[in-house]
Amino acid sequence: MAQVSVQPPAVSTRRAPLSNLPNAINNAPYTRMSTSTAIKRSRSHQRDAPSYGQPPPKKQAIDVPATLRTPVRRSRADAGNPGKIAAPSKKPLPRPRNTATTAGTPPAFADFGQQQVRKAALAASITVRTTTTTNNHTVVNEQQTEDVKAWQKHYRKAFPAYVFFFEAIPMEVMMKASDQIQDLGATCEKYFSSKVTHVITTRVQWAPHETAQPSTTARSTSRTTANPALVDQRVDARKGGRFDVLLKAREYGMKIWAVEKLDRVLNVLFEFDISRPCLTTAQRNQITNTHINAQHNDLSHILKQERLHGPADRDPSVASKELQFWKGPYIYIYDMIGATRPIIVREYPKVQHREEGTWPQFRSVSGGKCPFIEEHVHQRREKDRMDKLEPAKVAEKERPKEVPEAKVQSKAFVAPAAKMIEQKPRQVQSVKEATMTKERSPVKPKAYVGRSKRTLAEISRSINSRTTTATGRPVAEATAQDVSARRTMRPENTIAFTATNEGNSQTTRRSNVEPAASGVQPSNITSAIRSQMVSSYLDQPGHRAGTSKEMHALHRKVASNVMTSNPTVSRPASMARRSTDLLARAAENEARTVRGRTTDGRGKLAKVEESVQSSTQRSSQEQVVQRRPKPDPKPGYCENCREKFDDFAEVISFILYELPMLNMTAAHPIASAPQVCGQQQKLGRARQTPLRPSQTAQVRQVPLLIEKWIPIALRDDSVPLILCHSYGAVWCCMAPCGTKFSFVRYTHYSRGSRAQQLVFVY
Amino acid sequence: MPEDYVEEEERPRKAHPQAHRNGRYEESRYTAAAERSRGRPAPSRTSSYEQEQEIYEDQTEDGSDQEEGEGSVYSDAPAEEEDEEEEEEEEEEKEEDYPTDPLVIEELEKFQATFRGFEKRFRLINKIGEGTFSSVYKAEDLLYDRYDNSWDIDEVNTRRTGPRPPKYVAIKKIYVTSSPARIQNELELLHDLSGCRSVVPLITAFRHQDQVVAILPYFQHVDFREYFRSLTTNDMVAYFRSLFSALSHVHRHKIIHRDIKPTNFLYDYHKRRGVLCDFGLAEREGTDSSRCMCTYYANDRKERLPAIPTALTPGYPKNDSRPARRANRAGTRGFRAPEVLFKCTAQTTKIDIWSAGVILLTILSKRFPFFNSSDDVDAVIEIATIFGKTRMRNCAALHGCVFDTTIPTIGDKGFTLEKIILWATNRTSGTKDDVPVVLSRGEQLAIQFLQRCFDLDPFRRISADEALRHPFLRYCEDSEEEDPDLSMGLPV
Repeated sequence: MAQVSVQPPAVSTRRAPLSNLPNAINNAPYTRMSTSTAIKRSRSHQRDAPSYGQPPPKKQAIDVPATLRTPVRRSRADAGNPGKIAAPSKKPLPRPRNTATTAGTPPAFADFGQQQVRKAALAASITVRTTTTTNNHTVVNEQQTEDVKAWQKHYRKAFPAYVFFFEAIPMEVMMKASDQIQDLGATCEKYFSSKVTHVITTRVQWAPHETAQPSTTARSTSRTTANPALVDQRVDARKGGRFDVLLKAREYGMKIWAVEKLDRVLNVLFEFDISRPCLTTAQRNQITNTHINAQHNDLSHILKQERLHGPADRDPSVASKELQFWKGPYIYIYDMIGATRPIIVREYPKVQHREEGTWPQFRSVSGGKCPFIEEHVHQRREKDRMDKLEPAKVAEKERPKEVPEAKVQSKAFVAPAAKMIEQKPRQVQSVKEATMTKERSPVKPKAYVGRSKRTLAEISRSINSRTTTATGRPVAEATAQDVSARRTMRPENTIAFTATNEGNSQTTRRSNVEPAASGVQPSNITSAIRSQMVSSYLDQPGHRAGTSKEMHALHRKVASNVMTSNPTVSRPASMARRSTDLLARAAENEARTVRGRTTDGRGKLAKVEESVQSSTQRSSQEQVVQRRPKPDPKPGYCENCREKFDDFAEVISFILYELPMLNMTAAHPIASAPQVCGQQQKLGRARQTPLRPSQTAQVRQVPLLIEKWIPIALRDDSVPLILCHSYGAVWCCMAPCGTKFSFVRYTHYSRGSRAQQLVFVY
Repeated sequence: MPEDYVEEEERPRKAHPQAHRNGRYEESRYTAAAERSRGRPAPSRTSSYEQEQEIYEDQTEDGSDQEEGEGSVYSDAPAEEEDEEEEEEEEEEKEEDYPTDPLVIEELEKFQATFRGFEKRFRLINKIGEGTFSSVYKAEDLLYDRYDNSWDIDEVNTRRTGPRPPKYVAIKKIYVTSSPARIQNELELLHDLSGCRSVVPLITAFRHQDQVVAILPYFQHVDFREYFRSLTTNDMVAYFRSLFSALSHVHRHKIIHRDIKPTNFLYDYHKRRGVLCDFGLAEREGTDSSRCMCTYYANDRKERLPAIPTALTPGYPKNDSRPARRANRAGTRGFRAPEVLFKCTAQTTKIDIWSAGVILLTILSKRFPFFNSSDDVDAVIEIATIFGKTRMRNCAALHGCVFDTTIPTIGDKGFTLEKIILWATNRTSGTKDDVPVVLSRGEQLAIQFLQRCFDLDPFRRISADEALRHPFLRYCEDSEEEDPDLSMGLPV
């Protein structure tokens, strides 16, 4: 019997910067990799990391250590009390025991605090754009800059040897801090041990006093000023151990830093990179104050800084962004204030005549059809549909290899064109279309001798330059093909909905379905990650979509590797309804044979159905007429895992009803793309839909849905990380393959507290 | 354990009033109660697989499925129309002795097997719809007489003699991929909205493990494509009166439907009655919303925003790391209001009015869909093509955005709706641009009404209540003039 206990971190109400979200996908595997001894900072890793569903990483300037970017976020108030908290070197500190610190002492940190005041001033007054100049302080400032650089150098060297331990630090802060610390090459210990060199604490009174104090008083003070969020941990600490970590730390001669101090150190080391998330919330507010205090500040320093490091008045978020200049007609909708990314950006290839443009515009089409789609697109659609429907009539015969409709129809010229276009990515296709229009326009009037219909543009008096290039098909000439199509097919004309994006959408395969609602978001959850996952439209610059596809593919590869390497797991996907009850399974098998029989009995019908299948699968399906046809994959999006999937059937096949007797070996091959993830931080996804307390006891009925397997190690006995979601929760736990769960304990608290716990016992 | 999604509502019973409580029921209890009422001991089994399997087998033999046909007219109709339609029905069933699509059969079987005792309550007939987060099946309600059917508007008015025709329900199976919050939301909203004839009533809902099912009445309706080109003005008025009374009811509850489109408004062309359904995307006004520039008064807004830049932008930033603007954009392409496209963070019920306007435009122009809008960009361009740059700029400015385009087909002024409708219906007179083709009075009113629905400013856009008072919705044409164009558009 082993227990895996899983405790999702408390979810904070404030949205943390994206890069720090525990379950941010690009964060997961990479940050931990940098814990090695390498001094080299691993930011570049992060940047290169495929950021699935994430905005591009923000950290830009840190790779050039020489340039000290002008600080913007230092503030007077913050630096005003550096002596109190952050004077580490009043006494020479005992050296960390296992640390080989580089020689030389760093410049006093207190100095640096003052330096920062100036920096704040600098940034602030620059934003105000005063142009007064005084050169008095130039020399001093120069000196200070040097100091900073020396100090930076020193700490950079020393950092990789540091081992940090966080004591009574809020989860959120800790996560941020540890990320940054690890970037600098230092390590973070989860447990307090003698290896630790630095203890970070929020118990402010403790940090600066290096001299021993009566521990009782210290504790009492800490109790009074305790951050309520920390009470639990502190109580635990005191209850569990007879020792206080800080006391112990002092005993070992470790350094005790306040969070504020750590923040300042990091700030300097990261060269005041604005995008570096600051650890203490107080600072955030002070950024705004900086601007208010702007007038009092020293300009000479600012100018000096500017000479050294370039102008600082650029909006940091827009800074150093080059413009992509328009080359053709475009549509550009952007935020007036510039706080957010442009809402819509799209550029179209330049065309000579506006009708050739690939953007939606009024086209002359026959009645009843969408006026924004060109007639030939309509025709192609119809043809495609005919392709699918025609065989139904001649189902007894074998399907001819060629597309029969192309011959039957008078509009043979559409066929090759349509073929040409099929399965091309959107952009390419649209260009093609444009050229096609060109080619075809002389042909068209010959092909149709009908009454020409005028485009709206012509009607309008303002536009009268162009001649009739597009000739509409007369309504009366709605052709035999139309009529026959209407008879055989279902009435809806949905294909018209997918105008120009056949190439990129999987929906074409299921073109008989109503246009479903999209852009769906759960109304009660606002998660940066989720909403980015959802809004996958191509209206954003920066090609997130492409990355994500590759990522998906990679994930899937990894997943399938794992599954094939583990033969017990790969079972036919038909085991959709899993039950552990043997009786039930037997019954199921029987049922299947019964069904098989009936299907055979209706062989003919089945064949007919067969041919209704999309033409791409035709050849393969002919061989397996006797088998049950495979449904078209139905791609979609799972709100619970917040992931897209390629086929709905595969997702639901993951449902395992009775967890208590869950037999893990019987699970299905991974279908949807799991993430390679080695952390339990995934837990942060827990949803808060509380249960009634009475359910706690009803262990047996917990209907968990083993939604996917996430391999975390590619060993022989691959160890899956299971992400379970049931109603109201997403959890994961680690368990070796073939684990049989016998018992699930589920602790839950009321709506107010968000702590949830799930315990698997196996 | 997720007991949140136990049965949302116990169905009111006629025979056992004591069984009806307001509390939530687990499915097992529900079935137990049902079985007891049939004079059988409720089995104390906790696992119901054996029985499920029985059902499964039964269903295999019983191929009672029909071909998918959304437009087909089935009846849960009152006595008057019964006979006729009954016949149709039977015919169809005979024809379709074998279900046509094996995949659908399998799906139905699976579905049925999920719920214990399902076959005793409902006889699945066919799959009639499929959405992002749910599938809808048609089924016969076998235990209709046992329950309180106050929701059934037809039944209340009908005095019947002889055997009752089969009663049909629509069973909405909500996929496991939709979030519990969404499911709860939909059921709650439906429950709140009960009591309006134009809004689909929720009969009951139940859950077994992760499978959630809502039972709604099956409404006989005709596919929009079948009739939208042949609607007379009076038909349009009836259609929109019904639609707007539903919207009025929904909006009075401060609920945004978010997905108004013909598919979600089941309109019975013959009875001139429609029912608004599918509240899967609906939300309460103000959910998840934050302050948008459009919520300020015009003067405030001017102060808060820089002047709208008049110069064209040279380009867009290459690598933009700013956060994206986020707003709920749920809805169906082609029906999204401009503020949704501009990602307004304080969307109101007016987005439904816009979508209703799109339906009206579809009918007036006799083109479905009118907007193709394969994505949001295309949608904006299409709307801008109609309304022109100037108005689009102003609309964008409402939400703190700058609208900038050099697409040549987007003019400054755009087109008037009359022009578009005339053009779309091929009624523009050849060369003489100046001579307008006379629109009928009804059409003129409709266009005026449409203009009010298509006000780019959501705050000036007509509200559902106002709409009901609009002359168009009160209009009644005395003589239904035979418009040649109208008859031309009839489907074969």
